[in-house]
Amino acid sequence: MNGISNSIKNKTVKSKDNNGRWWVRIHLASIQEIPQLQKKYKIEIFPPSFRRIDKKNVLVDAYISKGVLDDMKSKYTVRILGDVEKLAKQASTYVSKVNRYKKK
Amino acid sequence: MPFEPYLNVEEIESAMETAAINNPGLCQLITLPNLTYEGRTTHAVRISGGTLADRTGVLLLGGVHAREWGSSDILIAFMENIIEAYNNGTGLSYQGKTYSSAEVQQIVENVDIFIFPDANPDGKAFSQGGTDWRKNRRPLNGEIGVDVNRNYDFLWDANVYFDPSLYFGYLYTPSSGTYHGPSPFSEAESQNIKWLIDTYPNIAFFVDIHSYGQKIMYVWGNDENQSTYSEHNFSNSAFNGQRGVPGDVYSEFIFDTDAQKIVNAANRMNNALFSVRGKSYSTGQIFHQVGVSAGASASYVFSRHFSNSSQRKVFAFGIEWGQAFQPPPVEMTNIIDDIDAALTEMCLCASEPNIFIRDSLGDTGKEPSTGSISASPDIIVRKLPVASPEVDLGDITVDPGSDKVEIGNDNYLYVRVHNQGGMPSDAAVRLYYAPLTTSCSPALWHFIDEVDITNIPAEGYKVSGAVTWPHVPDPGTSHHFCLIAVCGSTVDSFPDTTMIDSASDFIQFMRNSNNIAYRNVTFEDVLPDGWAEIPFVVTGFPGKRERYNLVLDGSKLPEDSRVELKTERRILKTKDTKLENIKTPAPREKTKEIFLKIGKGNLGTIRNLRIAPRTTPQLVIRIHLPKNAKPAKEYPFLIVQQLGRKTLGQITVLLRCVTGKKKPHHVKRRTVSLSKKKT
Repeated sequence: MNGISNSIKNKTVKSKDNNGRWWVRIHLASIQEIPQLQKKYKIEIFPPSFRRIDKKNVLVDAYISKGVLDDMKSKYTVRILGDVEKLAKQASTYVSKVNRYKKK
Repeated sequence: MPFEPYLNVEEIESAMETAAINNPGLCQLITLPNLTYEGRTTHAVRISGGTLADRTGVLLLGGVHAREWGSSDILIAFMENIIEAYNNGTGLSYQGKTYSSAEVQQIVENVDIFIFPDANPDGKAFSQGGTDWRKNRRPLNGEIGVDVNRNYDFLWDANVYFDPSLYFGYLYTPSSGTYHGPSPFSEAESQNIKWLIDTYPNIAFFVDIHSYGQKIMYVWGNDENQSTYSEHNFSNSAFNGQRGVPGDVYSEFIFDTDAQKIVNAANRMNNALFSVRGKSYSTGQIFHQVGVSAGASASYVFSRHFSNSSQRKVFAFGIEWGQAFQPPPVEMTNIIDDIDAALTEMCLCASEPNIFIRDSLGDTGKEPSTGSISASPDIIVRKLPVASPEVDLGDITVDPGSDKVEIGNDNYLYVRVHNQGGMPSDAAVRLYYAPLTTSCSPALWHFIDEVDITNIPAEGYKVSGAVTWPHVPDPGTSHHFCLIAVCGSTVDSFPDTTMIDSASDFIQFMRNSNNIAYRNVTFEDVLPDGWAEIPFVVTGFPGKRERYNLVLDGSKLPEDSRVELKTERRILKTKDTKLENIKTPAPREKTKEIFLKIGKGNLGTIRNLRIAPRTTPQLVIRIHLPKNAKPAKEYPFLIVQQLGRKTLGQITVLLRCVTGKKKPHHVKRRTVSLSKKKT
């Protein structure tokens, strides 16, 4: 179905949440592959991050369990953008720790 | 101004309170009614300057998804900037994009800006503690949280509505980041958003601000947009299981004029954003930009006027800012400028002229309209030119009525065009006539002339100069007309009538466009103990052969009045046609024509009238007023064509009881022959 081999369709790759998640950018041959990705992997896809490279190819960003990265890399071009948990911790330092409006 | 750290939840609330306290009369704090799971009260503000009473509302929403912190910062900055600029009488500057002080004033004094910057504070507080999080924080089924932006009542139960080849398992999985909840509007956060739109019915524009993806999007989100097949719509269960697949038969209906408006507004937002620092977002329909979505905000908000025609049409947009959920503060500073420029442009759109012609006296220009659609008080016929139209026809609280059109002579038409927007506007008006018909299909229209009206004041109206209707042609069997007026301007285009391909298209079209109105009111002088005879046509719309109802309502005639309907016998021949309170005389001979008598109370209905597509069979209503009819009084008689329970249109005949020396005029039967016309 739209570039997904039968071997992929019929397997479910179990996630290992306790290892954390990667923020990744995935290169797909078609937007139609997204439902298959969602069925097969524990993955949180960010649809607004879709970018069309040409008529068929798209890039999409997602969070994936670290445990499925190797399997996914064997089927798709996947680039790691960051470690979700580390990024979340880092981002929390960008948040105001006081109420600046109370000072006024 | 360098961006300081992201606002925390407490600060967002304090920012709104501070704005409201410091700007009484300009900024009002609105308390949302539903507490979040963790007991937080959320607030919105309404920015509304000047004294204008009836203004368009824009709702700007942020903070629905917990980790998209910058949405709240964007909205708080927007709130503070526009208040400050208005108070100081200055313009706004977002790097390369500037708005003049006049534009700021135009926005603030003509638009109600509703800002709800932090719809999901529980989620945000948790996320800002250092954990990636998207949903709210309500525990359910052993998991925590519902995706508020999948909890709206729009195709919420995706497995029912969409093509089975699509995958929606994540919506039904409580551990998923996009779990849609146990039922539509199950969450306090989505209920609060709905409450705002319910409570402030002037809201006509909605922007839901998210990250990330650099996109400016508009409805629909469930399938491709199309303006041809109105039956292809989210509420039609016949298409359950077929939605969401691009390039197939099903696609979602949107009026062409609405599609033009939202595309125009989205492009304007993107142009403004581009001017800030050269960034260009991708603009387009949600379905094309992010794929299929169910239970999401924009489609729900826009769907409301389809689901319930008493609700206002709200043009709905989504913005996905940036390229990460929490970009570093320096980049967020630039993004705030980008999006605030786009939002200012959105508000400018909302403040611009919105011209319309009223369908009835109570019509305020709201789309869709809910009252009568065939009794425009703004289309006026006079036998002689009016010396001072602005004075003589200037009282818009009354219907000045129309003279009966004089066949063969010049008649004079006047149109009153209204401007709901905050700026003066020019407009052009096109006038048409049609035979007296229960539903005024554009196929029956004949062009009369076009007239320009300049400088229609903001929130005001203007009467056109006289449009001469030269040597009014004899329409043949009837001396009665339907008159149609259509208006357009540079920012509010003429409605496109070419898309009306069915009776339901016609209903939707007339209700959803305030730039078109028609007057189907005709006058007939009749003596006491005399007959009036009014020929009219019933329209068979293109598309499938529909069953129509024809209601004949003479309930306001004097008690002893008699009403007859002359029609072709074959029209009533279909076996499912039913006559309610209408008597059929026993046929003495097999004539083509038949006289039906309306029974007691002069209120009768023909149900399931089958009219072939694109035909306009002619009927004649004959009314006899009794001797005791009061002279100088007007008696209304209504002829209403319905499609199911929906009114397609109606004719109002006003019988003017006159006195005279001549003998009562008895109209001979069959003076008007019936004929079938191809439209």
